[in-house]
Amino acid sequence: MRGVWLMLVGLAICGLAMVLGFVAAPDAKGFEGDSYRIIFWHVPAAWTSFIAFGMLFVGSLAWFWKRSEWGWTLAGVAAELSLLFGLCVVTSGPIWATAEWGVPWDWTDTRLNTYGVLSALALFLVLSRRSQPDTPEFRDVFSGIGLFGFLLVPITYMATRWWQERHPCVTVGCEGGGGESGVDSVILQIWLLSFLGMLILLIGQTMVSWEVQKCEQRLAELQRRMD
Amino acid sequence: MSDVAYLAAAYAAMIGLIGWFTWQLLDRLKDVQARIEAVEGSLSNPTDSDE
Repeated sequence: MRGVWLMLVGLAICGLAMVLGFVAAPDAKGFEGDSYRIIFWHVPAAWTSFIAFGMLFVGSLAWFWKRSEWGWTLAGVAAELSLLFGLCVVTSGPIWATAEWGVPWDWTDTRLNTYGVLSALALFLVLSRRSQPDTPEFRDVFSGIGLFGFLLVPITYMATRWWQERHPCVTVGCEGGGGESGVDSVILQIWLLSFLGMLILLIGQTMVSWEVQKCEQRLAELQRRMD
Repeated sequence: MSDVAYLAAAYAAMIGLIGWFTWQLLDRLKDVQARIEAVEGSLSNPTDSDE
C-alpha cells in the first residue's frame, strides 16, 4: 500500500532531520542550551498543520458550494490530520517553554492563544464527527466551523510579526540584519528537510485516512441495504 | 530538569502522538475492511440469515 510506504519514508526523513538537529546544527543565537533543538520538529509540524487546516478549508468549501462527497471526505481526513499536527505543536511547545521561559504557556501571547484555539477547534470537529449522526445539517455545521476556523491560520502565522510578544520570531522570512533571513543556513536546511519529511508523512496519512473514510462510508451503505 | 531532558520529553511526546495516530489509522482500516467482508458475505448468502 503506497500510503503506508509514504508514511514510513516521511518518518525516516523526520528521524534523520532530528538526528541532524543534534549533531550538525550550531547553537542558536538568543537561546540558552540545547532545548531550542525542538524547533526541528515543532516548527515543521506547525507548517504541516497549516496545510492540513487548508485542506479542511477546501473540503468544507467543496461541501458547502457543490454538496460534494469528495469535499466531505477531504474535510474529515483533514480534521484528523489538523488535530494530529496541532497536538504535536501544543505539546512540544509548552515543554520547550518550560525550559526556556520557566512557564509552559503565556496567556498574553497572541500566537500561542490563536494556535491553541485552532487545535481545540480540530479536536471539536473530530469528536463531533465521530459522535453525531451523518445528516446534511451536521455536515453544514461541521463545514461552517471548518471554513471560519481557517481564518485563524493567517492570523496565527503573522502574529509574531504584527504583535511581537513572547513567542520567538525565528520563522523563515523574518528579517535579520542586512535584510537577510534571520535563520542560520544549516538550521534552515535541516528545518526544510524535516518539513519535507512531514509533508510526505501527511500525504501518506491522507491516503490511508481517505481509504478508511471511504471504507466506513461503504460499510454504512451496506448496513443500510441489510436493514 | 536539564535542558536535554526537556528536549527528550518533547520529542518523545511528538513521536508518541504520531506513532499512536498511525497505529490507530491502520487498525481502523483493518477493522473496517474485515467488517465490510463480513457484511458482503452475509449479503451474498441471504439464506443463512433467513433461516
